[in-house]
Amino acid sequence: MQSNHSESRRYPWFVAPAAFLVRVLLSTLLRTCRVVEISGELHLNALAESGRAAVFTFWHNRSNYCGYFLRKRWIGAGRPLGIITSLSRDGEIAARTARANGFQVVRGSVGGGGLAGLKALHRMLRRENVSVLSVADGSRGPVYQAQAGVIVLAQTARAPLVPIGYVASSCWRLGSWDRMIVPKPFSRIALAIGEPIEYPERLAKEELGRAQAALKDALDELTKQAKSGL
Amino acid sequence: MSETPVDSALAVLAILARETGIAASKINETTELVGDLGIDSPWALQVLVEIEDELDIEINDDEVANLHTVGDILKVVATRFPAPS
Repeated sequence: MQSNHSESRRYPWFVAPAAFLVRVLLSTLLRTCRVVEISGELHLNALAESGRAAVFTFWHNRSNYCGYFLRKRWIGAGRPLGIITSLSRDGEIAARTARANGFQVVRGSVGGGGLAGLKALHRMLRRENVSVLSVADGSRGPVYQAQAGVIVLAQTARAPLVPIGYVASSCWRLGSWDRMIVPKPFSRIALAIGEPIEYPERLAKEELGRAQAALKDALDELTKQAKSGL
Repeated sequence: MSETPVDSALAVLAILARETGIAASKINETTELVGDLGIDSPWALQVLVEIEDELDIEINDDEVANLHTVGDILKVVATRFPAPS
């Protein structure tokens, strides 16, 4: 199911062509990259075999290649994958791009008071058994700080949280808050997929804080691990 | 599962009291989830899921977007347990 929040909004005329351009340029660029190493691939295979919906998470600035990789590996194998994009104009471009790439899209925000967005992802996971992508440091950061939302999402949906890191041998860094990484054409890519994290049914506030710190450590470690694979 | 609107409202208040540590007697319809109870989005998700599970209901996405006070939650829950005519 897709949220209908975006349907009542009007966006400038150039949003549709911009989304088309982003999709074509990004997929052309990412297609030239070569994956040279995937560590922890067994975790992904085990999840696929189990049939359980999972929450895939990574740092916001690594979302383009992680999303591209999961699109190929998850959606490409006929498994549904959900994503949330903001209600902003940029979010609309991202939503159109994601839909064209086969993602199930809900609109809203997970961070910054975005309860509706969290609840929509929760519904996908629990009621529809659809795996979802959710960035660990949220849509506005601070960068490399794991937020509570992604953990509570996995915990309340009783879904495993799968951390993923990646590095490119050569990349551009955009001027965004997270200094988004865009791999340069023909760069080598190494990915590291972490062991799925299962949370107890209830997490007290202090346990949640520890879980956030542990998720940050896991993602940082996976990035290091990926670097060593280049 | 609660069977009457009163039971369901009491169940919601009990969950909020348990989650926040604030006595149910101090929570009313005008109590704000964020401002008064300090419930942020991740915590609110936990509370809503608990309400859904305990009352065996589902609160849909559009309804969630309009939840600001305890009264807002009670109104949504009441629609699932209409009073007998």
